[in-house]
Amino acid sequence: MSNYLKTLMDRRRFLESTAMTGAGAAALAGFGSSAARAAGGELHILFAGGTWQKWFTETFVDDFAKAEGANIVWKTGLSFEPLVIAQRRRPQWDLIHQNQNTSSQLGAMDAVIEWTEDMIPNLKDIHPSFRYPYLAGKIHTPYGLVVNTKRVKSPITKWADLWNPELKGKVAFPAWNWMGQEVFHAINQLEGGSPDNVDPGIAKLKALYTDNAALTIENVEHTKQLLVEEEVWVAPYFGARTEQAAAAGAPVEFVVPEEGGLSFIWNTAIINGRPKESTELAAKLVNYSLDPERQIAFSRLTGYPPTNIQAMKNLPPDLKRLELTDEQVEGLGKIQREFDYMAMFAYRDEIKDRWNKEVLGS
Amino acid sequence: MRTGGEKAFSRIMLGPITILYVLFLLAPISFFLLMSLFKYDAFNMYAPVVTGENFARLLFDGYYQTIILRTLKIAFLTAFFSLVLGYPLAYFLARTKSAWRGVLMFLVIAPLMTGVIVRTYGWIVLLGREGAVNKVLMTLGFLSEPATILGTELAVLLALVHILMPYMVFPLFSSLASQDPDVERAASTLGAGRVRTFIEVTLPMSRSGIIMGAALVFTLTAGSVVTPALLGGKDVQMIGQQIYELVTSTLNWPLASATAFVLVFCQFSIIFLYFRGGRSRAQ
Repeated sequence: MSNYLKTLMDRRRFLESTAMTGAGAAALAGFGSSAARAAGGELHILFAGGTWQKWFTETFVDDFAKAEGANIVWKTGLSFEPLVIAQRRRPQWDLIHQNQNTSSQLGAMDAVIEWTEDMIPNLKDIHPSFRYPYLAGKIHTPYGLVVNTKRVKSPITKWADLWNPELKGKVAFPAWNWMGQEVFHAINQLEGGSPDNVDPGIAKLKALYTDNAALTIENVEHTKQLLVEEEVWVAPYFGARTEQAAAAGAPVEFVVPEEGGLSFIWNTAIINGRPKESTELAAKLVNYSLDPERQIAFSRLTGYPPTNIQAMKNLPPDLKRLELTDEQVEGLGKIQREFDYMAMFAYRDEIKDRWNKEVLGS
Repeated sequence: MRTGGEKAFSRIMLGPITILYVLFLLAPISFFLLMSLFKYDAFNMYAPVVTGENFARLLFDGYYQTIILRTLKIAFLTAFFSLVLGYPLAYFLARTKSAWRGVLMFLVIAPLMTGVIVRTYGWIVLLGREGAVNKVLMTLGFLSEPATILGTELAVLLALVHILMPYMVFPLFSSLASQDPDVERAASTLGAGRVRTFIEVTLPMSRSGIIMGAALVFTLTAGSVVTPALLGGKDVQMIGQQIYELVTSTLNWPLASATAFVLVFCQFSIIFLYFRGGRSRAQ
């Protein structure tokens, strides 16, 4: 970790002792209920909305709520990290839907707690590739390139193919606050950069936008729309979402790049500082999400592979297409396992400013 | 002359809205004005050290200057084209005696019921290189090959005019429908033609609707996030998108607050000028 980062961390500790964060917490104190109410069997969850919440509820939450007699309070949407950070002194929520990147950052700020096998027994069966200190995936989402097989004639096998001049005007890159940040850091790393040296990534992405006239894709639905309309032929995208775009009429297939794909794991991180009963209840729900049978049911709904080794070994015939070899699993998470999440977090404003000016403003 | 009792009654009537405005408008604006003067801290989002660097970054950095000016330009153009296209529609709705008027009014509101995201996706289908607009223009011989419309200011402007049109039409309709028809008849009796009657009577009398509609469309456009993000791409960044990204992704709350303050200041200034202009002309 760089000196700059250490300095920031020291300042953080100092600033935590001031009333500064209290201002944010106080502003938000009016909403939500008291900790005591959650202790009576309420679980407060910050979660993505839409089909993802529907499937999560059907597969894990309904049975859990019935078995535990728990009442679930939802707040749905994206990017709840600022809320959790602002409430660190008086947290109002028990669980937050996260990936390995954001959970690692919240963990380093003591905003979420580390998972142990004592708290979450099913954790022992999770494949090591999908286990992080503050989160383990309920599924994992292979992420690589979506390719229009009707329009693209030359083979697409690696990230570098996005820069193929034949694809000018037909490639896209994810918006920064969707998946763009992670993909940028992956490209930067492949080009020899690191979070405190993003020059290679900035130069490479600038070329993608200026020389190859890349479009920006904002979210899953936006990308699907552009794939169906054939406005975009090659772009970074999720494997299962590629299948959904194909089902909607887009002539597309999913490719895991030779340099290694990305693999996002998603689950609910447990927020620190809540009453003991709430934390235990939250851990029980997390344990449900790592149960092999429930993971298989969730995989059937989402089209994404499970993370529990027992579930991976015992996929039913209709889900055999989700089976991955150890080599494939290794290849998927290869780039991300080398990410320095805290450095990415520390430099995010500086990097985003350069992204805005040098890449988008180019 | 109003009695003391009437004055007290007026104050009581204004009480709830005053409390609402103080709690949910003035207090949040004051809070983010305060936040905009704090220093950014990577791990805490802000530190209570007073600084002017956020406003300096916004006002003297060419990147942010461009975004602010582009936002004001698109907001102005959206208000202008909504007025140009909405006025004839509002005029027709206000004057028609057709039994279908209610249905037509419903059709004006109908787009609001589908949600801004759905309507924006609809524009992606229409404006794409393989979309209906390009196909029609090519069939009519205006284009030899499909034009790139998505990712341009034109795409954002078209969609915003469509999405925000009801906010222009209804204030206009309201002011046109409330006009006394005898005034137009009197102008006609005194020898004014239809065009002169419209320009010298109808149009000035609908000023309040024009000001209200333009102010609504301007402010809603200036704060829009979804439409410029989905249709404008990298070349049409607007202030709303910047604030959203700074709050949720970069977590730079002081700069987000300063940006929000600049946006609110621009909106209030423009509205103030609109209404002051309207009042001085009325006098």
